[in-house]
Amino acid sequence: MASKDYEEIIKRIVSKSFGQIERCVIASEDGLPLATYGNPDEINEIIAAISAPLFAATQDVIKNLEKTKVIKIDVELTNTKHLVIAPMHNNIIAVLSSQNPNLGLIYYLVEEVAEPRPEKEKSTSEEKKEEGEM
Amino acid sequence: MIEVVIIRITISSNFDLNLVLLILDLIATLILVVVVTKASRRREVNPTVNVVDQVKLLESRIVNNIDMFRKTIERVKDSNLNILSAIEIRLKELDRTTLSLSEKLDKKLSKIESALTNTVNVKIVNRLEDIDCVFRDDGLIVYGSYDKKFVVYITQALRVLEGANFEMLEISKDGSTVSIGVLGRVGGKTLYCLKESLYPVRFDSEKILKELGGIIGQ
Repeated sequence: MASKDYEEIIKRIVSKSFGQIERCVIASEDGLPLATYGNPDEINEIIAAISAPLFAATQDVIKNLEKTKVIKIDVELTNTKHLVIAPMHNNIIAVLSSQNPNLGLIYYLVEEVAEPRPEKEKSTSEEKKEEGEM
Repeated sequence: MIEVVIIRITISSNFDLNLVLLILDLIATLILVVVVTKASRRREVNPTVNVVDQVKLLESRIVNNIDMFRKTIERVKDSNLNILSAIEIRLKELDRTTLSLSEKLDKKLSKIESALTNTVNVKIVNRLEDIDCVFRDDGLIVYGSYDKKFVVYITQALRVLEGANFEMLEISKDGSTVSIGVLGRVGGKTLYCLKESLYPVRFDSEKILKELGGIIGQ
């Protein structure tokens, strides 16, 4: 997907949010921002840098508990804001809400663009290891 | 020689006025005929008298009288016209008043009808299982299920209406009515219940909240 498409997605989400979204970032899985909304942009970079590894780590942890995928992570902050992170294929979308947000609306808008992260292809060494264990 | 003078006064007026003037014409003609006949007889007796002059004098008198009479009638007609136009204006005002009164009555009647219908058909919902869903003021559904998109956008609308202190909200949707009622505040969040039905409903918030508390442990 091109950077322009990411910008379009962000624009669409923000316009439908009735001011419930303060910041919105689409970042690559290694934490680099691909498209952002909200000023200053340095904070968007921080959100991208935090959200991508947070999602990856959560996904890995959950994989050990249940054979399932993470749909979204909601981090509730003491100032009543929420940081919602969801996968977008190999990237992530992170949304920082305004205070006391219409959370249902934010979830709905994020779920509209979210796509579960595809299963990583296992490397041959990993496969051999698993076979050996069996 | 006998001269017959016909006086014709034409007044453009309505039908009744013309009739009156025609009658006057006839009367005047008759008078003239009588006068002329008398004068001619007198001439036969006393030829020195100038009959023609006398007739002309009489004619002018009659014409003057008729002219005065015509003016009087025209004045009466004008005053009648003024009265008629005043009556017409008054009638139009009355028509307008009647129309507005009728509209007001119609509105009141339709309100009364709708209130009566609601009283007859309204259903009290007091069980949780009769509700489609219960949702919070942050747009999250806490019980049941319903179209998520509708719930989140209605939450946004409810946030706008927050200060209005309403108890019920009814939305017509695809031929049915979506009723949304305020249940109360639980854990700092306002709870709303939602039910879609073909008939109007009222929620017994107390009973629903009590039942909901048993389920979600509030």
